[in-house]
Amino acid sequence: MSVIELKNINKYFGSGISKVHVLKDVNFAADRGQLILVVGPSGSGKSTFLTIAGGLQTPTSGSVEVEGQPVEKLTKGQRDKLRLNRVGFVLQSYNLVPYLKVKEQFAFVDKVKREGNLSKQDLDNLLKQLGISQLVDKFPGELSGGQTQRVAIARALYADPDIVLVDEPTAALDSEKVAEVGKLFKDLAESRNKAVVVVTHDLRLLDFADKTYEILDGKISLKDKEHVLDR
Amino acid sequence: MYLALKEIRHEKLRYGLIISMVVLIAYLIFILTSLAFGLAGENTQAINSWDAKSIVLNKDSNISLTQSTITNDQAKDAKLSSKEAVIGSTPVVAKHKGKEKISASFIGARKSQFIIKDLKLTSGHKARNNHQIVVDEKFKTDGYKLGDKVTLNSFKDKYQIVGFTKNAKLNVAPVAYGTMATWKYLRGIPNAPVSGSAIVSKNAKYNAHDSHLKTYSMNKFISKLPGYSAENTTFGFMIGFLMIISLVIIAVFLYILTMQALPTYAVLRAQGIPARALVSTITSQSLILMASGVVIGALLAALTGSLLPVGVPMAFNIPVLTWISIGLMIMGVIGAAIPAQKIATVDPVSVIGG
Ligand SMILES: Nc1ncnc2c1ncn2[C@@H]1O[C@H](COP(=O)(O)OP(=O)(O)OP(=O)(O)O)[C@@H](O)[C@H]1O
Ligand SMILES: [Mg+2]
Repeated sequence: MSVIELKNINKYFGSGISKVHVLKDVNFAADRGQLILVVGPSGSGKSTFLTIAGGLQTPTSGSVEVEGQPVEKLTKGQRDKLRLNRVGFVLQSYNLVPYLKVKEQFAFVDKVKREGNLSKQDLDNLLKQLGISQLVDKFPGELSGGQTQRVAIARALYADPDIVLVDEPTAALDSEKVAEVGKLFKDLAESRNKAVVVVTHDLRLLDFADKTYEILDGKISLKDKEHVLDR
Repeated sequence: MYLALKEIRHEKLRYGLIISMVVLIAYLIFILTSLAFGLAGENTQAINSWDAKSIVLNKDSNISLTQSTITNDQAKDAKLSSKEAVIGSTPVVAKHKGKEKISASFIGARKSQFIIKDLKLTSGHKARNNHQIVVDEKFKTDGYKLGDKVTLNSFKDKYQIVGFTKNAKLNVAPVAYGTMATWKYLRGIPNAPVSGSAIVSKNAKYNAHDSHLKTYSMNKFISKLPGYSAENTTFGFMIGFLMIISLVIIAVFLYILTMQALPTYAVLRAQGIPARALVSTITSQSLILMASGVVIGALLAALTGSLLPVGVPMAFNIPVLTWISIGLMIMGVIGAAIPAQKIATVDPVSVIGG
């Protein structure tokens, strides 16, 4: 069973003459241990897709299932819990609380979610894997862009989610760095058995994906990478 | 609480500034309140010490003690019991060579009635003849001693201070207690058929049975003391305004901070942190700001109180100051309401690349 599945999702914004059909009959599934890429040009519906997959928005029709459980049946509080426990978000900006040291970012998760977080040992290993062990006593303002992103990834993984949703992780990175990030997400998916879903317009990530979807004008389709590159 | 404290510790300058604002406001409120109570006390101390519930004045006196007279006939008809006492009041200026002049309230009363009978002295004895007076301790702090002979107004006669009493102030002037004959003399009506200025009674429902006299409750009488109500209203206004200013300051401050931090709150919401946890963050920050401001303000006010010269009328009324502190805390909670509402309704979608 897929850890997350979107079935016949449609999403409309607005009404009447300004009504737009942003997602059209979207079907999608992600499995543990895989890095899944969702690529598409600007305005194609990637962010809308990501927020619906993460339970932040409700689709106009269709169903999102996390481990077989339909998200639309959950209350607001239960959806908060779902995001806290099962979904990790890695966003482009504002990921970290500016006045918490790196180690306190994790301590704060402990305050809100008392169990099921990584053990001290696991966290140390994760920080080592990400190459940020030496940063624990720094504030976010003292980190470089790449370091911030790695800490954000650690923060997302700390609650030990099944699904990691990543938004445009390689905006404004040179190709060398893109490869590093791609490899990192692939490694994390494999070594930690997570479903990592990355939405991006950056085709340089294609090489690292186990599975690639393409969104065009709200329609999603599974592609092999040659096909996407063909375009 | 975790986020609240961490943020304050990280942004020391910001929060330090806002706390110092709260300190100043709290300090000002405490000082003003204490002054208000101090002044109110100096208006009414003597009256309170009599423990009387009502006062009978001439109907045409405009509820002014010094404008009222009660004739001998009226006093006779009034059927005074042990709960009533006749007093005569007139403003005087006490002088003694080489000492500061003191504006005082002379109160003449009868030895046999409760005003004098229940009068508690801190030293000396009560007046035994028409040339002896008992005065408030304010005289003592101004350098007067037992045995000093003072003149009153422009009369040549000397009056000897034979006793001191505490907390005897009427309308901000220290009281000098003497005999009824002395009062009549000072009023310039030694032979008039006048009994006194007023009858005070411990009975709230006391009735003097005379169409020219009227009974007023002590509270009503106090509220009509010259300047008393105006003073209290002014202080009340100032304190109320300071409360509102503190509310506005804290609300604006928290609002600006919250608006700046909104994307962070949105991410935290996206990560599944319950809105409740974030709302409690801003509320506890507001409470921490207010509490530290109030505590420091109170310490400063206490320090000021201990450094001020005795003459400044300050009364630290702890229950009232406690209520004011609670009021300030409530202002803090109200001030956090709008920012809290912003946080509770922040849309996590807004931070996901649109
Ligand atoms: N809340 C909204 N109300 C109205 N229209 C919206 C809303 N959110 C998104 N849209 C529209 O839906 C379409 C898809 O938006 P979305 O943000 O999902 O695109 P995207 O693929 O993430 O683009 P980008 O690469 O620029 O981030 C756009 O045309 C956008 O204008
Ligand atoms: Mg987007």
